[in-house]
Amino acid sequence: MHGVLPLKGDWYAPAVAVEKLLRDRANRGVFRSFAAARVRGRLECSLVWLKERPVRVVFDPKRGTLVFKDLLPNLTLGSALYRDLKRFLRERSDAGLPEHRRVDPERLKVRSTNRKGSVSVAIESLDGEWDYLVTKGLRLVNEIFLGFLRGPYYGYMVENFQEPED
Amino acid sequence: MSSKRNAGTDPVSRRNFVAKGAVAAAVAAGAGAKASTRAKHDSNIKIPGEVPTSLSENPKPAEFPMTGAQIFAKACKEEGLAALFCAPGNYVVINAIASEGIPSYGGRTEGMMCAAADGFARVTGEVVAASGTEGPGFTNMIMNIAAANAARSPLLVLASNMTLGLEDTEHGIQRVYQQPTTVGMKKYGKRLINPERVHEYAGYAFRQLKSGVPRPVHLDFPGEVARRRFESPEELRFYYDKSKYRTASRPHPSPREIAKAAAMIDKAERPIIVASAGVFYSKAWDALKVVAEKGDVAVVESGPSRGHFADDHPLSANTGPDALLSADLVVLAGQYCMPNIGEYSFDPDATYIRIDPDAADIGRNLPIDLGIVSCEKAALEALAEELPKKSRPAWRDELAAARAAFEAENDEHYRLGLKYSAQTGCVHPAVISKGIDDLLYKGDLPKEQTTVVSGGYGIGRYTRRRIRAFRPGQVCNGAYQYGAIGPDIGYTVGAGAAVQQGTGPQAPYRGAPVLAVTGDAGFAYSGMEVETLSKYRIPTVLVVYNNNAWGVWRAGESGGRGDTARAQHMYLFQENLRYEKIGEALGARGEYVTDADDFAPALKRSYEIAAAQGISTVINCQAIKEFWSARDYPPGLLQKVEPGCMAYYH
Repeated sequence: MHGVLPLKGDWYAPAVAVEKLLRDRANRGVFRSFAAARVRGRLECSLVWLKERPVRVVFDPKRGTLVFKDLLPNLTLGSALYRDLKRFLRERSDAGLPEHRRVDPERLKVRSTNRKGSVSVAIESLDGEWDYLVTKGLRLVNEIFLGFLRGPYYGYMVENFQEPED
Repeated sequence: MSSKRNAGTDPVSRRNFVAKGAVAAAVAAGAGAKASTRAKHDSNIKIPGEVPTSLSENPKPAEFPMTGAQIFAKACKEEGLAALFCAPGNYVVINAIASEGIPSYGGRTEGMMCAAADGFARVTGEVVAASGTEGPGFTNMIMNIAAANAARSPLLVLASNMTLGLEDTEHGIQRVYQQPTTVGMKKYGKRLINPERVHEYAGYAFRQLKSGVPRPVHLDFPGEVARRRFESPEELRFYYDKSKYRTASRPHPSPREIAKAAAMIDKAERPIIVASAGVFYSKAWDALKVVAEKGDVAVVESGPSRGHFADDHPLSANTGPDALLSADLVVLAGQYCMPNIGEYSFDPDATYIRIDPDAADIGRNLPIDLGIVSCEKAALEALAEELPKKSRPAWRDELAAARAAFEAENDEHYRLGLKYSAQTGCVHPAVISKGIDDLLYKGDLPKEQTTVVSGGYGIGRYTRRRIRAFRPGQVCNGAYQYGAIGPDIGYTVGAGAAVQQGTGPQAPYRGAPVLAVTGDAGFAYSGMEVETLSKYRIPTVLVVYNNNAWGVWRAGESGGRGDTARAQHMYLFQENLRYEKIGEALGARGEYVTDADDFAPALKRSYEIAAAQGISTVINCQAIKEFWSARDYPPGLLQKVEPGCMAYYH
């Protein structure tokens, strides 16, 4: 079972909360594997989750930001897929979506970054509600893989995530 | 390729079958009808008179003295074995089974007859047998034994096996030790050794086939067993009725677990049941409907067959994939082939209940919050009693919106398909998909009528989106789990035979045409079985998507194959091959469609001829391989969302 790391100083409290939220899910079997460490004031986790490729999750308690680092490889800035991804992320805040599928822009700020073709997704908490941050963050990534990337991106999934070819 | 090249525009007069209706009736295998034995055709293809004659003969159940084969066949009859599909070989066993009156079909290859048996099981839920001869025939069955194993089909694999006395000698031909060959693809297997235990081992086989999670059972019959003559019952061991060697009892859920499940469902806001193979095999569709309607619980299907929850029910998520991600509680009912994390489109925080008769499998691949060891029907009936009535209008609205969004996406594919078809002079898969939808479900035909074998690779990713199921066993999911696209026409023989016989849930639609979809790659593996369809007058409309290439060809595309130096030729066929002419040469009609406008009329014409005359048609739909290019013809090869109508992995 996954236990929470010991507390070291008050400013770590948000990191402990986020770590617990993730570990609770790991213990429920949401992820295939889970590891966490605290590095220079940040919580760094490694998950094997929806695909075999590990996902690096970094929580910065000072900024209240949960970052899914290098979530999508080999995506050039000008590619249609990256453009569509940014639109998809924006649309997650549409007022027409049901609450359980929507990211409240008053509470979370979502952005993507692309460094040398490696795309990270960052979610910033605007109200310090860590449960909401983690729940919505995981849901967002889940929807990227199980919804968005099941659009016309078959080749990308085969090349980068070993999606079956048949 | 812009010209119209339809063949068979006057198929009825050209074919000119004599006494076609009578032949078709007689060939409702075992139906007992007397019929003319000749069906004339101007190419001189004819059904030999012995076919309807032998099919219309009365069964001749064996009496002592009996051979081992006859003892076994009688046990099969007592157990209600629903059908046998074979290629000759294992002669004394298949002859004995046919003589007992079990509907029996002989086709062109053992492999495809094994697929036929699997297809029959997938649309009836009944135990069915496939048989082949020693070595070569048996090993020809392997792909389809493996596919049946992956699909969890109750398939009895029978194969003769020369003699024990000359084991290991290579005396004569066709010697092989069979049982190790099926390791990993069967529930139970046995080489019969003691002739006097032949009835006992029939019991071993049917205990396995009729309990728990179904999978293939493989028995091989050495000559000493099959041909041994028994003068009286005293010479046999354990020779008594099935009520003494197996039980029909099923595991029932504990009341405490059902109460807990009911509380979890009641507490959930957006519960969903994944109704899979176990719901079909346990015939739990009525209980499933009660649970769904009582608690406003959504239902989505998975598995090798579809229709145990109707696609047009307001609580169906089969055609509303976007709603899956909203479910907060998932009940996996009879999901024998378990997906892994990330394969089913559910929320990461969803909780899971799993209902399965096999405790040893509960918890595999996906974590559970509650496991219930039970027959699916017993569990759903108990749940129907325990579950409080509840209304979830917002969840119903979300399901309806998801279904509407999916249909809008299909319509957009069709709009693009028409455009691409006009540009290329070929038939885009979205046009084929829409044409099938319009004929089977939106026209004059009762939407429940037509059983469909939904196969193919790339074409299947379009047609699955519009092939619908409104009653149990209406759709046989061709490539399910094992991913074999080759057996599609084999499955069609079995599904068509089930409809022809009116077996199980096919009873109300007895004699109706079946429709099958496959690709040009798939046709190569099983196209000869068009002859079997024609011989038995199983009325079939076979849609062949012909894009001149293996479906995995996507040269120049990310993730595509065939763009390495000197590699492309391996992915390509000759262009514009005439599969419909193969159909004609095997006793069916042929239609060659190169213009999108011609597809719907060809489909309707073929269906009407199948219904009225029992004649099958191969519709060769000419496309181009480039339609799978997302760059040139977006959306190209489609991805899929599971579970639901698009699913075939799990």
